[in-house]
Order: sequence, then structure tokens, then C-alpha cells
Amino acid sequence: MSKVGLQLSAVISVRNEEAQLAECLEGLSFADEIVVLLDKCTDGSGDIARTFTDRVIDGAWEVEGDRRNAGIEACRGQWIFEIDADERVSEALGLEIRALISSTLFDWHEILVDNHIGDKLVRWGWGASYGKAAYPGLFKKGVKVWGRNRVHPPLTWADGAKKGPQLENRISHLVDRNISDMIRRLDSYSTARAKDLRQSGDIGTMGSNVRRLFSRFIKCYFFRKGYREGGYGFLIALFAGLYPMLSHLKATLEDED
Amino acid sequence: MSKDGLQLSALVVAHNEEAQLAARLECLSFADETVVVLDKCTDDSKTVAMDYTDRLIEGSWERDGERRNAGIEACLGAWIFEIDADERVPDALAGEIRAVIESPDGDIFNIPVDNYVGDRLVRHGWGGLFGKNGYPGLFRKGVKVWGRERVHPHLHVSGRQGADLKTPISHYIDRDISDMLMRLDRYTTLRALDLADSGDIGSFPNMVRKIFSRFWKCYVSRRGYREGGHGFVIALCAALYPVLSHLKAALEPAP
Repeated sequence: MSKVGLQLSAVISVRNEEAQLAECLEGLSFADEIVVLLDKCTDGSGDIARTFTDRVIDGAWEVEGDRRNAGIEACRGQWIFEIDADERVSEALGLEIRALISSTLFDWHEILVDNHIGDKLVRWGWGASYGKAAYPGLFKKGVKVWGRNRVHPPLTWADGAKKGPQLENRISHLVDRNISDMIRRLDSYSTARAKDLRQSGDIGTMGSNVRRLFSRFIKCYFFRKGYREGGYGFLIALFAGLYPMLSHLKATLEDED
Repeated sequence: MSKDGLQLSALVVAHNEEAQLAARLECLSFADETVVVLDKCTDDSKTVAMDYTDRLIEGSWERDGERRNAGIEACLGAWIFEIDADERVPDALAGEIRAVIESPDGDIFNIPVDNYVGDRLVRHGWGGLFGKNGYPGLFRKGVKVWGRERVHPHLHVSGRQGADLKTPISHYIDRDISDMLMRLDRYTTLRALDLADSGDIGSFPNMVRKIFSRFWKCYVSRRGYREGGHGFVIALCAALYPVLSHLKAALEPAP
């Protein structure tokens, strides 16, 4: 079993998040330990983290998957709960997590996400790499490994790892403050994705990315019911559709800087 | 004629442009005076400008049109040549401007624009308020007044339009696709404020139609396809400009 007999670790990786880190960490007291990875932080994130935990790891990771794996590696609990700085855990979710890990027969569970744009809860239409409606955030140590991509790393699960039912309570995610934030996120995702494409040597074709623009829009706006969210649902679908195309064009037209 | 008998004023509006201001003012020595409007500058723009001219107008303007009008007002020349922060004047254009105002066939002249994205000259596909192929940048004092919109102010022109100049001005509009997206974001935020002011933000279905009509206009009619991927992104930004402005106005009330 684990070294000091801890049952549950919460792990978070942080890059200059002093504005929201305290609020996020406050919600994690239900875990037996909190592990904070400070990735190239130049603000007060470290000081804030140390008021909540002594398990703070400083470093610089170029690739998101590597960073997340380092965080998981540092956890001593049998179970790991992975969270981002812009997410909040309610008391009910904390209790549900504790209850679940003491009784579950499975190795990992998905947590549903309530995404907010500013003050507005936007429930429908997320997906296609531009936002998540659920994520596999609760898992036994050793079953989940992140891939080496800069953005949206793929996951590898240990052989025979069994997926359990989703949790009932949702995590709250402040994904964007407004439409400008959505545009900036589209820009930074597609820049990072372009680097991955260049490195893979296969940047795809314009034609297939034009097709994906439409297929992803339809997936988010209609199948995932983005239309129920009005204008924000439209923009989520639009940006999910543009993401592969912009990544492809940045990879084609622009060199690594 | 004008007070000091000046023939040509060059007008530059700067908002924290210390990095590129010197290069810009360098190429304006062909004018009889250079007027620099310093809008809310907190960097060394003023020090840089003082090396080239003593005609500085400092202030704080909320709207582009008002700022430009203040600059025009301050010009002493009979003719005014207006250029933007990210534009450069080739020698050939300077010569052509001086020649045109020696024997003008009009009161206001269009100057063609060569737009660069990074190092690449992108000639086709601009428009739909996301970029310009030409602008009425050379005019007799008094014939051109800017409107009060925050972005892309309307022009009120009273003079006679002369033949377009032949030499293009060089416009370093964006460094890369990220710059284009950030510009799209800025423009649509300002446009949303203008729409909210006007009381008519338009309808969503209409803006969705405009996505397709504007894309077609830039990519096909204006031949953006000849520029490959950059033409596609320009058309895309021009296409999204109305719907993003509308949604920002509809969903996000100004603070």
C-alpha cells in the first residue's frame, strides 16, 4: 500500500494563478494531502500554496502531459483526485469522493463539469477539444498516464483498469470570463496544437480540416445541444470547429519561434 | 492658404509606440512638418517624437475619430497626409505625394496599401472591415472629418476625389495568425460598444448569414484564395466580425 497509508491525494498544477489559487485549495481539505506543482511560477502562487500544504513541487515543464505525470508521481495516496486552478469543489462533491473511494470496486471514475462563462452556467455544447463536459479526475494511483502532447494530451490506462460510474455531484469550472477569453483560449490552444502537429510531422490537409470545421460545429451545436445555450453555445461550437483548422494553418504558415 | 505657408503636414497618431515610432517618423521627412498625436502614452513615445518634431499634441481620447480630428485640426499645412502606427512610407510614395500636390486634380486622394502579415505581402482578400486595400490618406485641409464611432469611424468627405495614387504604402498589419485573432477580439469589443450605443445590435440570424456572405466576398470575390492559408484566415476573421460583435453586445453588457 502507500507509504504513509494515505487514502486520498488531491493534485493540482499551477502556472501563475495567485488570483484564484486560494479559493481552489480551500475546497480540497477533504483530501488527506494536497500536492501542488508550480510550473514556472513568477507570482505569489508558491506562497499561497505553502499556506495549505507542505507538498509543493517547483519546476518547469514544457509539455503539459509531463507536468501532469510528475504531479501524479508525487502523490502518496492510493487514490488521486486531479483538479485545475479554475475549478471549485463543493462540500457535497468532497463527501461523495470520500464515500466512493472507500466502497468502489472500480479503478477510475469520471467527474461531470459545470462550465461557467463569467457568471453564466453553460451546460450544453462542450466538446471537440474546446471544453470538457466530464473528465476522468478520480483514479487509483498507477492506472492513468498522460501522453506527451502540449495540449489535450491523450490518456493511457493501465491494462485491466475498470471504469466505474460517474459521480453525481459536479465540479464547477470557470472556463472563461467572457467572449474575449474564449477567443484567447482558441488562440493559445491552436498555437500549442500547431507545435504538436509540427513535431509529429503530419500537419494534415486543408480539405480535411475544412470538413472538420463543419462536422465539429454540428457535433457541438446540435448533437451536444449547444443551441440550448443561445449565443455562447454557438461560439463554443464555432471555436471547437475552428480549432483544428487554425492549428493546421499555424503549423503550415508559421515557424517555431 | 495656411498660416505659415506650409504645403504638406504629415499626421501620425501614436499610443505607446516607442518601438516603431522612430522608424515611422524617419520616413516622413519629405513633409514640411510632422504632427504627432500622443494618446495616453505612458512609454517613451514622446521622447522619441521630440527628436523629429516639436509639433506634439498630447491628450487622452476615448474615440479614434475624435483623436484623428484633433490631429487634423492641429496641422498647419494646406495638405495633410495621414498615416497609421504600423505603416511605412517608401521613397517612391513620398515623391509621388509631393508631385500630386504640386498639380492636384482633386481634393482628396486614395493611397493603395500593401498589407504584410509577418514578412509576407498579402495582397488579396482584405475587406469586410478587417483590413483595407486603400484609404483616403492625402487630402486638402478641411475636406475630411472623422465620425465618432469607436472602431472604423465613418468619414465625412466634402472635396473632389482625385485619381488614386500609384505607389502603395507598406502596412505591417499583423505579425502572425495570433495577432489577427487578437485584432479580431479588439475590433469586436469596440464594435459591440458602438452597437450598444446605437441601440440596434441587429439580429442573430442576420449575423449568421453575414458569416457566409462576408467569407465569400473576401475569399472568392476579392480573391483571398490566391493567398492560400492567410487569405482563408482573413476571410474567416472578416466573416466572424459581425457575429462576434453582435454576441458581445447581446451577452456582455459594457461595465
